[in-house]
Amino acid sequence: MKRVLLTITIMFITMTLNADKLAITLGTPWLGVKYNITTRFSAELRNVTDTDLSIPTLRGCYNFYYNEKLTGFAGLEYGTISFKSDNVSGNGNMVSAFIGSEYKILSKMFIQADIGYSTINLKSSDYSVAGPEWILNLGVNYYLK
Amino acid sequence: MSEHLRHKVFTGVLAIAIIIINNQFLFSAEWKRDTVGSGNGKMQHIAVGDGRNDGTNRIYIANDEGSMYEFSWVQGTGWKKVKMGDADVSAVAIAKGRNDGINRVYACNDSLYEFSFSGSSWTKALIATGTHGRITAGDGRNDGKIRLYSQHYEFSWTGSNWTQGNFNYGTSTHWYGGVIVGNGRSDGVNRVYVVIDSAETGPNTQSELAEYTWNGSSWNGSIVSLIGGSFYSPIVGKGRNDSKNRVYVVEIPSKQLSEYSWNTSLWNKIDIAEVGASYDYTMAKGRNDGNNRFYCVEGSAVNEVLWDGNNYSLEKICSVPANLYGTRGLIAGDAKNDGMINVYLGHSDGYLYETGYYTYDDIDHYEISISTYVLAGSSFTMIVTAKDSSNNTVQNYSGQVTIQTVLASNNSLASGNVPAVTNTTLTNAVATITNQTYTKTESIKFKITDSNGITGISNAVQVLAQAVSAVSITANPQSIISGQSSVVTVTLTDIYGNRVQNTNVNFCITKGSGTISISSGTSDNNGEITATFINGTAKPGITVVRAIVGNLTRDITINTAVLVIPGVEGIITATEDPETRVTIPPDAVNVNVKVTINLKVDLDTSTELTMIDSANNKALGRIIADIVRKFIAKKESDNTDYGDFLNPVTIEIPYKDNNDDNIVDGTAINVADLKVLRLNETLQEWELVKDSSINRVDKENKVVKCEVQHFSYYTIGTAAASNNVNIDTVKPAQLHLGAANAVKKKIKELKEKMQ
Repeated sequence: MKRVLLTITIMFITMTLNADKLAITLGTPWLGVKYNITTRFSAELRNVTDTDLSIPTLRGCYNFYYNEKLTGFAGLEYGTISFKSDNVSGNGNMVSAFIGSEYKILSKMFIQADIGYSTINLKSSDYSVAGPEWILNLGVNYYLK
Repeated sequence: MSEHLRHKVFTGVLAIAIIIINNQFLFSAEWKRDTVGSGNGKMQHIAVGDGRNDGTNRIYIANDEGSMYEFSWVQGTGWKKVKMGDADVSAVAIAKGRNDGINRVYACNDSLYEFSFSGSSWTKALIATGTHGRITAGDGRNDGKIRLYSQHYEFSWTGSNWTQGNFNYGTSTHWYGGVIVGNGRSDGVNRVYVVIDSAETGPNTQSELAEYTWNGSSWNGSIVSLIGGSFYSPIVGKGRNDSKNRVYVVEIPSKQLSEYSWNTSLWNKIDIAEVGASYDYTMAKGRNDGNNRFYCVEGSAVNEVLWDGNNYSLEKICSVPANLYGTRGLIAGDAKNDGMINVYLGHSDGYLYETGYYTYDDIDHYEISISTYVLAGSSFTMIVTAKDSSNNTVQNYSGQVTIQTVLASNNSLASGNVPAVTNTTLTNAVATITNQTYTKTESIKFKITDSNGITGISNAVQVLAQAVSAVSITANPQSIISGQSSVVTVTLTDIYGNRVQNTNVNFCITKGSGTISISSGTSDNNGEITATFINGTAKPGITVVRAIVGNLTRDITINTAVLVIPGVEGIITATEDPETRVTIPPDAVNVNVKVTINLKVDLDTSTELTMIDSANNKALGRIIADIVRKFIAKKESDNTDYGDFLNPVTIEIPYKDNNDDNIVDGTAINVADLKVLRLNETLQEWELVKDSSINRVDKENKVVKCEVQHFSYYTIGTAAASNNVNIDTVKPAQLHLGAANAVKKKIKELKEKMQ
């Protein structure tokens, strides 16, 4: 997994040097980097920040509608989970399908909202749980160029 | 020549040869210069005497920055300086100027002052103004009274005040080179000898050394010498070390020291030597050999002039720093109150120097005085003394030596440690070291070596250990079977790691059973004591032997095992928990095996319990955490682990259900669910034992029985979902703001499931 994340990080650095659609994303609660590969496709690397857990995720989007102000998108997201709280620690993963939109409020700043259906799997020692959850994400995207 | 005469001649020659050899090779002498102290400005004229009337000589020196200083020698400490007061003075003298038996210090330049010591401090009184040059005191009128003389003035104490008289040249305002009172003609009559500068109106217009004689009512003046230059202050004394006083004076600018001898009708002058242009010179027994010599300074060279019976000769004896204004004051005296005359020089560089002539026999060896026994690391005193071949102390010797330690058994081998003080300086042949230490317990000798390779060796010193600071204990073997014994060794060490001898050690058994051969004893020369532990039970378990030394204790754990023989069934119960049992069938082993059962409290806290606690934390609520047993099987032959048994052996671990509610006391575990669990040491997890089909509860005996293939750490509890990982949804999906909240919900579900 570390190798995957390293590869993705290098990829994003490369994009930073060449692309003009790179955005820093901030949401509830995550910190990420989004890159519009084309007008139709974009990718985003996020890390959910919380004291008890860590969820680095990678999501890919298809922009089925876009104009200067508004973009509508749908996509898939995969993330790994590690947690430690109250003497219980473990790990797991999540897979989500989502749909949402991005709306321009300033020249470089957009607000974004999406809702997704996720399957979350957790395991600690000999115990595990798995099941679906609905996840609503709200965030702000700031494009660098 | 008769035989008797030849014998006498031979004996005489031999004696003379011995004396010469002694003088040439066994006797040393040298001039040494030390610094006494310093003042603010140029150090000037000096006097040495008992200025405080306490029987102790001190140095009194004028300073051209307006200060009078007193230097006192304190044996063992050095020179101590006291500022006596402010006075712009350049000359100083000590005398009983008031004829009351009390010495006072007189100093002059533009004014004449008297310094008196009150017993605690110095007080200064003005005698007169308008004085110049030098100050001296003496019985100039031969009436038994001391008067002060400066320039052409005479000062007399009336009993209540000072009166001032003068010689023939009372109108003088010019510089006078100096004045002295003495019996210059060796006729028993003191006279006053005064140097009058050439500008003075006197008997002659040249500079003159004048002599004044008190005739009972007035002063008669006459000329000793006239020169075209000037003179420094004259000296009266026995410069030739004969019975005759003479007058000596240095002429300027020729720097010539001249001698004037009165031959009953006139003065005969001879030039002695060009001694230099320093402002002062003196005559004294500087070598402490009874002979007067002159001491003077030329540039940086301190010279000595001696009459050898026929001629005067000059020799440089030491140096002082070269300085524009040179040496300003020079005097000799016993300022250290040690019976030795030293020469003191007030220098224009602001320092007061001392130069002394030190004689001593050559050093043959060093003697070291030291205790026979010392404590490791504690300070002790050693005294090093320089000795000659006759084992007499070499007086006056000063020098540095190095200090080493060697083995007492072999002086050529260095000892196992080094002393704290490795060099010292001998002063007057002795060095006292009060802070010497050595930290290793052994028998050593101290060895002294100087720069000439001369050595000294001490007596043997036994360094003893400090009190016990650490106790260690071992048992060999640490695992025994019934009837066997184990040798318990206790080692005592001090703070430096030295073994501690002759210290009482008590033994006791604090856990388990058995006997210890001695209840107490003392440590041997190696700081050790041994006792024998004998296993007193046929049950396996732990025995703890304790060693007590004062308030220090140290335990050793001895595993006691039961021997299992092939072909014989072994039923073994734990010493501390008889309900814990192992049943080894006859065909389970093929060699003799030692079986031990340890409870959780007997396990090593740093390694074993850490591992077990980690496993326990992963199985919270489903195991009985305190019931952990370690079963050990070792081959008797080589004490290695036996490994897998040939056939399963049965272990039984008890549980508590005193109220028979089928719930393990203190837990929520259903008795029916109890199983024997084995520790996976790699994963640090408890795993269900499935070595055979037998792993069940015996409610009647309240034990859990299980067949195992090998020994390890075991506990009892419910089988985990370990082998049955659940992948199921426990709650319906909900909407969450952000992925973190969704995952937290799932973590909550996981905790609920674990509980």
